[in-house]
Amino acid sequence: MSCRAVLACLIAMSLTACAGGEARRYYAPVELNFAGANKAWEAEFEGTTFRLRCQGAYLNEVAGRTQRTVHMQLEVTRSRDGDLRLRQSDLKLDVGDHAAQRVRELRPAEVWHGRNQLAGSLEVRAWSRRAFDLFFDEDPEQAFEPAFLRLRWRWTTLGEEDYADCSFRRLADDNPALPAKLSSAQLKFGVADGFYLPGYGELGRRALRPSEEERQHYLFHAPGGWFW
Amino acid sequence: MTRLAVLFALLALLLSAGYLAVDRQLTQLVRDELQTTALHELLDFGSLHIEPFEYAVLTEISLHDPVSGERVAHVDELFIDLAMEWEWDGSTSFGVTGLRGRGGQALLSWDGEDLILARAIGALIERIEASLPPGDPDAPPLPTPTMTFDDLDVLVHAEGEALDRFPRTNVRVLDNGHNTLLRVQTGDAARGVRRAGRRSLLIAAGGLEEGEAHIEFGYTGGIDRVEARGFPISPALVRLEPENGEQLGRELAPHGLLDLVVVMGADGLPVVTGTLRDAQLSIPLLGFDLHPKSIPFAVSGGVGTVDKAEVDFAGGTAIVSLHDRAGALALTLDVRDANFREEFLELLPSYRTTRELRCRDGGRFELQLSMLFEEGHTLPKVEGRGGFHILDVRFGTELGELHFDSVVGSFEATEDQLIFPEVSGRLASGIVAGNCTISGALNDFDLELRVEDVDIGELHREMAANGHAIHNIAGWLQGSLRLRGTAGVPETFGGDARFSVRAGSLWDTPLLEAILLALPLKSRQPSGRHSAEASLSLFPDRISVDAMRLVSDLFTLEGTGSVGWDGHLDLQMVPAVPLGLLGRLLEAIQRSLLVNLRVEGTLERPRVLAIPFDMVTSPVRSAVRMLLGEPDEADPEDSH
Repeated sequence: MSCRAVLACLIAMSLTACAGGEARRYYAPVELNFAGANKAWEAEFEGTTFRLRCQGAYLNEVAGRTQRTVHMQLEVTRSRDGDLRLRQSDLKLDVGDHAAQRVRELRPAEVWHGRNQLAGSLEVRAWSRRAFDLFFDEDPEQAFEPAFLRLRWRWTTLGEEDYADCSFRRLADDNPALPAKLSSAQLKFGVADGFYLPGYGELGRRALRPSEEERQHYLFHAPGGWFW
Repeated sequence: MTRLAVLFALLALLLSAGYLAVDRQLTQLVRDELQTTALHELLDFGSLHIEPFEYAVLTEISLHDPVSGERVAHVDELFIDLAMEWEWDGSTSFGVTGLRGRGGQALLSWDGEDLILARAIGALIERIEASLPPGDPDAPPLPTPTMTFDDLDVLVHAEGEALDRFPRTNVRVLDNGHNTLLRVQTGDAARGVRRAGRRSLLIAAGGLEEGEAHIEFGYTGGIDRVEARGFPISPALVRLEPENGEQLGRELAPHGLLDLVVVMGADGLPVVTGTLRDAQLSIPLLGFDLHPKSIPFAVSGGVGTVDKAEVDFAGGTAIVSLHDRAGALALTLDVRDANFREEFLELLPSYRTTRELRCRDGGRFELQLSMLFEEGHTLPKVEGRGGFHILDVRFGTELGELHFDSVVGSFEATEDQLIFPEVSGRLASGIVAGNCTISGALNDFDLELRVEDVDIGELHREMAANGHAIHNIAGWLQGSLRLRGTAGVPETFGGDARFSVRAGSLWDTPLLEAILLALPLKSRQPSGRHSAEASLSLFPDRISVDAMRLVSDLFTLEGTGSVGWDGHLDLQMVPAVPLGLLGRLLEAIQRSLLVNLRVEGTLERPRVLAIPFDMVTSPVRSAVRMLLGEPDEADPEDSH
């Protein structure tokens, strides 16, 4: 393990310790069998294909405050005429506990497309593909750990409104295929088997900022320094 | 009783004989009449039987071509419905209320100028009109009798060859004094031809204009309006057209129903409007059938247009229009939400010749295209835009086949450019996205590509599936590429690229294996992941490696050089200068790697030559000193 990776782990661990030791939780689409890879849920609605992954729920530091963040990655492919528009206010995340007795509704704290944060709607032009990172933040002191997640969204194309939702279940912490159990070599990279920063059970400060970095996944957390 | 029966039998026999004798006399009388009016050249029949005041029956009627004498139509029986009216003033009027034919055969054939049946009917009517005494001009016109022909066997011939046959054809000719309706019914389909006017309708041969020669619904004595509703178009019918009907009928094999209205324009030219519907066309160039649901067309002032024809094809529906625009032919094509099939791309000559690129069936596309065909120009001016989503795209390379999933993009075509502003597809768990502009007649292109998160292990296994050596490699590829040149002319290619591999494991490649063997390492067992990046310039004859770096737990190397498009290597590598926090670690590596590597051979069979580092740096130091004007150090080797 390189010095930087060691340092990264130390920083991440210290942040986790500050946050009370809550580890990163992983979630898989209810409709898919989890076998080690973070497969995307995929569905098509009248010329629009959505692919959705959950990168987990984890504690991190946002603007000096410890937050629990649910990180969703939504890829939209528009394969028909007509642009697609999805307002941020039409993205809603239901967070439930084990017994589904309690459900909270979260709105996205930040939405990013590649290197840029979006202030307004998510827009996908006709015959194009866009990938978005959705961050739903909440105060961990005030909220329970999510056992299931359901993302609901509503969009407009050609004046017609449509909606969809996708539910995720939490993966058991002792699941041997969890990405947090990957070898330390994976720490040097951002994505493996569909998981973003797979080697990190805990993540460090969320350093969201516009970047010259091509790979979008490197934007969001800075557990340590990088060669690149 | 018996006598009475015999008496009635004899009476019946006498009456029958009497009728027979009368029929024979009448038959002879009509034959003689035909002879005097010269109608016998066109018409003959078997017998005539009359039921007074009710009907007359002609049997075995044959109609002959006035030119060749060939029989062109035959009716087994023709009932002529008669009517006689007595007026209060004692006068009587006699007329025919209907003609009912049953059985027989009609032959539709073309002799190069005329439809022979039409010519024969036209000649028959002319001769009948000529033989009739002039009537009282003040007298009200006689009502036109209704005409029906049932169970006709219609044969279509061209150049002596039987092309088509319509058995059990029924024909109805109705006239109310203002409109005439000709209804033709073959099989289960009802097809009709109707015209408005005072005179009887016939299917005439020849064009509406002098010199034209194509089948139309004509009218002897001038046309005021002709309408056709659901008239069947078949290859046989098209092959009757003398100019190129044979070729069109054979190659296009058109089928369909024609609605047509012809009126005379103020300029004396016919104005034709109509629709060909429920049609089918086979265009050899396309390679797939077209099924026009409707082709609305118009011809006015000698100029033809097609306005928003709906044409079904294997992928969906195309809206096609053809207009004359200042002497040039403008074609517009609008295809929305169609299913993609590879055969559509086969229409592009460049796709047919580029065997490396294969797009399999599956996906969607749309296209809005405008093409202007001008006289004196071999190629049309093309403008338009569109989009596509192709599920499976393969691109063959020297190293194997790249397999892209879900390629989505759009394009714009201007007069001299084809622009793909954004195209993206999945490749080995990653994304490849880019844009491309193709300009000019020579197909100059300018391509920019971005690669993100491509799993090179997965990519390599896919590419090596066709017999290439499989190496145990891993890592994630990202980078960018810009390439310019003229399509099909590699000598013009140029550009640059930058790629990097993270979390890589490239040890199991011939190049790194050879480097490991050449280095003075204590351990040659690969361990850990490494990162690599390269900055490249692309030239027609080679790839210039402007900078490359490989960082691993074993060593760090930096290098430059070039790689030929055929895989030949010419690289120099030196240990990287350690910097920053890793300084101590890399210094230790540097101490053990006091060599320069020269890499030659090919990617599959590299040869690595390790040169002691000092041998490399000494000449450099000498060169620097020379440039600075300092005296060179004495070479200890030379002193001996």
